[in-house]
Amino acid sequence: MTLPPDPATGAPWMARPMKLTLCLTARCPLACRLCYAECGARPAAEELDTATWLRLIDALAEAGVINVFVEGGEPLARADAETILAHAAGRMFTTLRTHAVTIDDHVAARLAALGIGRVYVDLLAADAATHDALTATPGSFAAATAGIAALRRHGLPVSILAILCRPNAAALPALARLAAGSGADEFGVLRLYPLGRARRNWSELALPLAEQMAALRAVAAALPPGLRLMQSWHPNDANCCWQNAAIDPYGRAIGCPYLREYVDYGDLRTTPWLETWNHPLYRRLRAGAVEGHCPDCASSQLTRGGCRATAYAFHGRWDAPDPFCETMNQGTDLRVLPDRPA
Amino acid sequence: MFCPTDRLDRAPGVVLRPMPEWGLAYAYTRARPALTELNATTWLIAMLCDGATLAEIERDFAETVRRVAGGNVARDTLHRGLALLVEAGIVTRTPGATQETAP
Repeated sequence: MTLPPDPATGAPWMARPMKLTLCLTARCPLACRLCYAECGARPAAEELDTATWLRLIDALAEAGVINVFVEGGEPLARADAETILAHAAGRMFTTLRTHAVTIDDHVAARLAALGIGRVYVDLLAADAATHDALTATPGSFAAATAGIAALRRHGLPVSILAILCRPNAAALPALARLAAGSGADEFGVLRLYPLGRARRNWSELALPLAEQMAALRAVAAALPPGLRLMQSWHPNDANCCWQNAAIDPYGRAIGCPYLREYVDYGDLRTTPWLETWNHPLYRRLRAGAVEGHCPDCASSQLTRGGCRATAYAFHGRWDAPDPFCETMNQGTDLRVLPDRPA
Repeated sequence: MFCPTDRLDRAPGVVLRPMPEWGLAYAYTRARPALTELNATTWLIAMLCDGATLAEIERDFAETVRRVAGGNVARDTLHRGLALLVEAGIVTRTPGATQETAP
């Protein structure tokens, strides 16, 4: 792989996107305190219909997308979710992020038959009381773990995802053991992003960077054999904008799911996909022109400056460094999110 | 082990996505859902597998890489690449007709 061009040239590295996130719906049976999508905030009728999603998937495949990550809300809350997933899986490597609370053996068997390549399941804690408190839905832990078991019985590769926050930080090693015991081969610890209800509940959920890094070190030190650890902090705090593409439930091109409250590159019901890809702000973010960056993160991620959504939320500038990196934090208290209009 | 008369073709439904920016390509195999990264050499081999015989592919591959690899190295590299592609389900092998053994 070659190195990306110097951002001073102002030119994005990739000519066309190869991977994409479809935020299929903002519907969800849960009411997570750290939800990024404000599930249920807008009427479901405003979401794209089946035919439009299928048409968009065809256009994306034609444009060169070969890897799609489908998330929500809860994607399986849509009655047509399996139709859309099947259409995608016929054209590109398709993975699914879900809370798994509605997955039983019948659903798992159908997902396997559709050709889903991997299922990412959010588990917010290693015990029912903490998980159910974070999802604000009693019984959701039991339903999710049953769903994971069904997915594994039908041979689907499973990754467990945990969003690191104050209520679950101490339990990450236990959650890793639960992931391994459930048959997952990957444990992803994700940072808290300043979006949706997580943004509103920030002060009660967010930890100082030092405590986040300590929690990561603790889980890395106690990782069960055979379980891969994936995490989104230094030296992995990717500025993914250079390669990312995403569509929200209403058909807006948003570049990345974590930019959903901050950018709008165009309405894909009326605008050709590649026209949104060339939106001036999208091109600027993909060019990676960021004020300072962490050399370690840049060398491991081939990118500069970390997450743009987080940098913008904390500093109000697109070229600001991402404070979730130890090198770039520069004294920013991650427990205090500035009151900035999205 | 391949025979010169074997025919090699990309498996039905395989999607190849060239990434010239990175000097590689990705292959999506729907039949066994996976996304496989192909380096430039394996990408070239996959492109040569269009139903041609192994003998034809050996000739074309050797011609393409002659400035950086001699005949034996090219043949070994090709066979290793083909084995990986067949194992990953990206390329299928149809055995060629076996030669009659003289009485």
